[in-house]
Amino acid sequence: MGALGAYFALGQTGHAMTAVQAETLVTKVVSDINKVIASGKSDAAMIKDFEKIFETYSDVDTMARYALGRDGKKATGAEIKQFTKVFKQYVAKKYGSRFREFIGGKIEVKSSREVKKFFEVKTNAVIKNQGNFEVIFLVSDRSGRPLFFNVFVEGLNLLLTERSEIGAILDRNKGDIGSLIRDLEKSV
Amino acid sequence: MAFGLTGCSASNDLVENDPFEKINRRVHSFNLVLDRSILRPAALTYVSVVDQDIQNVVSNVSDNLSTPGHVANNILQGDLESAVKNSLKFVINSTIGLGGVAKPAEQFGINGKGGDFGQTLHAWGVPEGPFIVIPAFGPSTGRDAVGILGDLSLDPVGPLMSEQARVFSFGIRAADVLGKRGNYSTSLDSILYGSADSYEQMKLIYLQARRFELDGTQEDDYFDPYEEIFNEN
Repeated sequence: MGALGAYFALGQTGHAMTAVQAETLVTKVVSDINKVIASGKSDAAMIKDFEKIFETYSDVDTMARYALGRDGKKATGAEIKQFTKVFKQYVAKKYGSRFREFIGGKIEVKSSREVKKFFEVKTNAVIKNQGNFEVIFLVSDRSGRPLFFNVFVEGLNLLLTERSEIGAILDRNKGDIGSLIRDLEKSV
Repeated sequence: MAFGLTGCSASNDLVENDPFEKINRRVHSFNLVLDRSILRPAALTYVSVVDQDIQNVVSNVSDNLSTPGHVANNILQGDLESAVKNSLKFVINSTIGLGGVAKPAEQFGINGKGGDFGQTLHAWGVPEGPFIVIPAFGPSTGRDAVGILGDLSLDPVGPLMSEQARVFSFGIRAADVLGKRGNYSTSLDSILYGSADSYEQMKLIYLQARRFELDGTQEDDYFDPYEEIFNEN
């Protein structure tokens, strides 16, 4: 879709999101990521930048709630708030620390379409000496505005992988959310 | 034991087919010991001592040695285009490319799809089967385990090789394994030693990566977290 499509898409007020809006969001995400990769900053600075990107463009609340799984049902509001905060830092550190491997690389938006009740935006990451990687963002506006809620890197589902890992930390702590939060705080 | 299930409630059917979990976990622990005591230290030494150019040569020669097996599987999958391209690639890289040291064929755009017998079985409609961990090898599935045996007996070039060539070929492949373990050590270490349940993470990541390799990303993999959260409330 060209500029005309984008014009009409923006003209619609909120409720009916379009593939163009999803693509616009991911274009911003990707452009910010490309800037971070090209900056050549230290690991710690890249992780901070990544946390900012994650905070700005993704629906962290929903991702954190999903990662908590069924134990999230018995969590108090305060626990969910605390967990969401540390989950954001944990994801930023875990994935942001990998950005060093992408230095010299570039991500490009390829296509977007509506799937089920959300939007799929496919991008392609070209990494030096390692070839092409497919990175897919899933975008929804059910939080109130278009935000991404899951990422697939070469088929690896971030939300599913982290739900399993958070579930394992919960198991280790006999399902206690307070202990889970403390464990995560220690790791970031 | 109620909490023991939280990890599994995570998902769709992705992690459900694991009837051998108990024995798999024991084999996994054994493999971790092997990795920690032998493979990982050897691999880290290999990538720090051996020059990057030589590592690339080893990796290229190893790829070249795998090409005849790809051709066999291309044919079994009815992908004649890839079979022809890979045959040409093998001939060009083995001659002009000095046994695969260089990859001139790829530079001419002559490159077919890869193939293994697990993939061939998939193409024939054989289901994935249970998740299994093979001693001293790692994660696999019922179908891929049969695939490994198939590839060993399918190798069209192996039987033609002299004893020396076979030893050389084995050595190159072993060195390539060291290179891969060493060069991907950040990711692999984080899965094997940095996660709360390394068995569960390895299984999840292996199955997702293998399914992506075979089928690409499928719409069925897209679950809707909003639906679950709104339904649960």
